[in-house]
Amino acid sequence: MFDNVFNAVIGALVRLLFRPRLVLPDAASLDEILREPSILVCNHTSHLDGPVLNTVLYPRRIHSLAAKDRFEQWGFGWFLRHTYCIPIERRKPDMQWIRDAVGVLKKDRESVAIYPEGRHGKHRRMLPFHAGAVILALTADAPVVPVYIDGPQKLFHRTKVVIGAPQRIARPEDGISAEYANRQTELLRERIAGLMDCE
Amino acid sequence: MEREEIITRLKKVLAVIKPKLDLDSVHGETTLTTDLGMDSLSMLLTGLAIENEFRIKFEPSVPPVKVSDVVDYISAKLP
Repeated sequence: MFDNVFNAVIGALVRLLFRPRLVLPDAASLDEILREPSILVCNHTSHLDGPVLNTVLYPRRIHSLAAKDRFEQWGFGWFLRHTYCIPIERRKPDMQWIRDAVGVLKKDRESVAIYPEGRHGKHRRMLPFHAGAVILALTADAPVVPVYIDGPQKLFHRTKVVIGAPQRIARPEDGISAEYANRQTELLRERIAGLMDCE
Repeated sequence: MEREEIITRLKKVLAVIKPKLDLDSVHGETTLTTDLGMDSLSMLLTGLAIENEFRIKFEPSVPPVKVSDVVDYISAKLP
């Protein structure tokens, strides 16, 4: 109950202070994104990316992945715990986040946002992607939705959020090789880069 | 389950994740990063594939260094 109210307040503040503007190159896909659980794969511009996504896609609830060490910080950790975030270990191999994210997608039937750059990129210059989003999509058999946020968000400036069409990543019959995961990750990065100039 | 069987099934897992790997050269003392060239992605895929193959939860408290570490972990987890 508290989290619902808290997130409604955050959503109102985001709308007021950053005025996110949703751009949909394929408008017909919005219904599917709002109806079905999916993995939003997004460039990372600031700590506000998660609240911005939750605001533009309201009422679909989106659980953002966030660095586990941030959950231990006073204040910000509390914020992450109350804004539906999933912790992910950055410094050592971690599989718990995959179990948590699969649970959100399959059991709770809610969506997950993942920022494959792993840290904040620069404006219009994305960092190389990690392959976690592709592995999660193949493990959960969920569609990926490419998202480009034209951030970092600035107070009282409109923030453009471009959301592409959902797409399923084909699962190879002979299993997922590291090479396949990397190739699909690069294709996904190209799809997100292709959204930058959509208006 | 015998150690030999675990190693055989583990090799099957590794063959999917790194198809160019020379499986005959893989033994207990083989190191995952130096000898097999595994990065964090390969480790993650290996962990997930092990969970599927052996029906166990793969969450070692210390990241395994050698193939024998993985075999020991699986062996201890199996009923």
